[in-house]
Amino acid sequence: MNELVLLTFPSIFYALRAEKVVQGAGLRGRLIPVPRELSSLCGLALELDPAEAGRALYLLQATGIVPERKVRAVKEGPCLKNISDIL
Amino acid sequence: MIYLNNAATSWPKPETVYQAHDAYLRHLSGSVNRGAGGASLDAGRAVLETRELLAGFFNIREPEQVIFTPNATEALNLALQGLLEPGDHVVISSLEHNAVARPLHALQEKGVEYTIVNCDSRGRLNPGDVERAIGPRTRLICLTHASNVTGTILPVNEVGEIARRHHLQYLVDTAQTAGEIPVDVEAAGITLLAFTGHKGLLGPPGTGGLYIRYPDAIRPLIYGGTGSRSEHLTQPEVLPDKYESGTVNAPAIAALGAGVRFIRETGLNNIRRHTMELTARLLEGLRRLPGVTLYGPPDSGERVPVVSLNIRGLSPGEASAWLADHYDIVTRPGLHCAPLAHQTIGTLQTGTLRLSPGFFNTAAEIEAALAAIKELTEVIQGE
Ligand SMILES: Cc1ncc(COP(=O)(O)O)c(C=O)c1O
Repeated sequence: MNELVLLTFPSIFYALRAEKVVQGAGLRGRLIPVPRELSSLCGLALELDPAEAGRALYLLQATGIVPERKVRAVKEGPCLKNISDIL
Repeated sequence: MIYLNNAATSWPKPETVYQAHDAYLRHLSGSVNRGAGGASLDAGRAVLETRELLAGFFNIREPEQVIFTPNATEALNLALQGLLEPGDHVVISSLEHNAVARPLHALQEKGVEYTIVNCDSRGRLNPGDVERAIGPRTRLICLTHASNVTGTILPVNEVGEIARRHHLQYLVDTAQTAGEIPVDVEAAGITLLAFTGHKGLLGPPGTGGLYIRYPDAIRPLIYGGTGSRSEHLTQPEVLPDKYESGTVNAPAIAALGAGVRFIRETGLNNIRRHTMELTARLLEGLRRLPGVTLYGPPDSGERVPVVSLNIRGLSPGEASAWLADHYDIVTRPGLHCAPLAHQTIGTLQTGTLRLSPGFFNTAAEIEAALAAIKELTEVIQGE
């Protein structure tokens, strides 16, 4: 199964900063276009490896970067399925 | 050519600035916030990088509070027009550039008032005079960090302390100081800092910005698309989007980043030491020439590398043209967009001839300029 964690942000500035922080710590993270259903804020989401999501979120919190939404989803071809918010 | 007009725009730029500009314009010109294509994302990363570099450079804690504008003029307009409301009062110095004086003059029509605090004939400001000009309606103190006419460095930290004590907004114009001497928003208590990219920061024209400490108090100057919250017609409140509508000049901002990196790697103190030596040499040589009147403080430590002068019997325009024609030396004559400063030093009628060395000038070039001016004074006296 192709599970992933996606974070959305209030603006591209925060999305880019989040990517930099996560990658700077040696974690996998890349920006992808975000489906409009997920967020309309800035068009980008940070894709994380679910196994590393906890550390990534901790790092972002320590840097003062607050994601707008944190979701888990399953990738099926180009589609995102089973989108659920992480609390 | 001997280029002594760095106070207008610095030249040459570090090689890395040209390279960054070319690379981003050639390969990565994608619009920053419009879609997630690889190239446009790289442009976005370059803009973020420069924003973070500048935040570090000015000791700004939150990089999103660094707003990019096309130049210092628009940054100053954003600060003044975004903050001031009818009934507000502003205190400024008598050395301010027209980028401050004209917006304030125009804002008078909307009921904004301002007081000009006079500097002495060498351009020195007494902070006590600033404090005495504060009234019950004062909202803002606005100060140039250094004069682009006399070169005088103003006491920004002392005035910042006064602003803090009176709970005022404090706008500092660093067009002549960023990249020349340290600028620290925390140490000086600056709440609004305008900078330009094309002078001491060694970047290309079309770059500049404003640091906004309290964004809730500042209205945007320009409204439009930000690539965020696009379904709402209201301008986003989130930074930097609130103030950055439209496509930003990403290649130029990437190149500005290369300029700031160059300064960091060279060391601001090394840059300062070199330009101060050039300025001291220039001042010393000019002082020996009969018929030359020098303006500004005598000590190069009290000024940025900006030297204004007049030659008896010759207008600044004639002198500048002669230096260009006979010696290929680039200087700038006139009022330098700062009539208040010329009023302060008594040169409003004539203007001055301005020589402004930069980091890439050499002592030999200063000597050549001195020899040329010496010859010019002899030509005039021979007539
Ligand atoms: C003191 C001062 N303020 C503002 C400006 C305007 O800068 P810019 O050309 O970036 O608008 C200048 C330079 O021209 C300046 O010397």
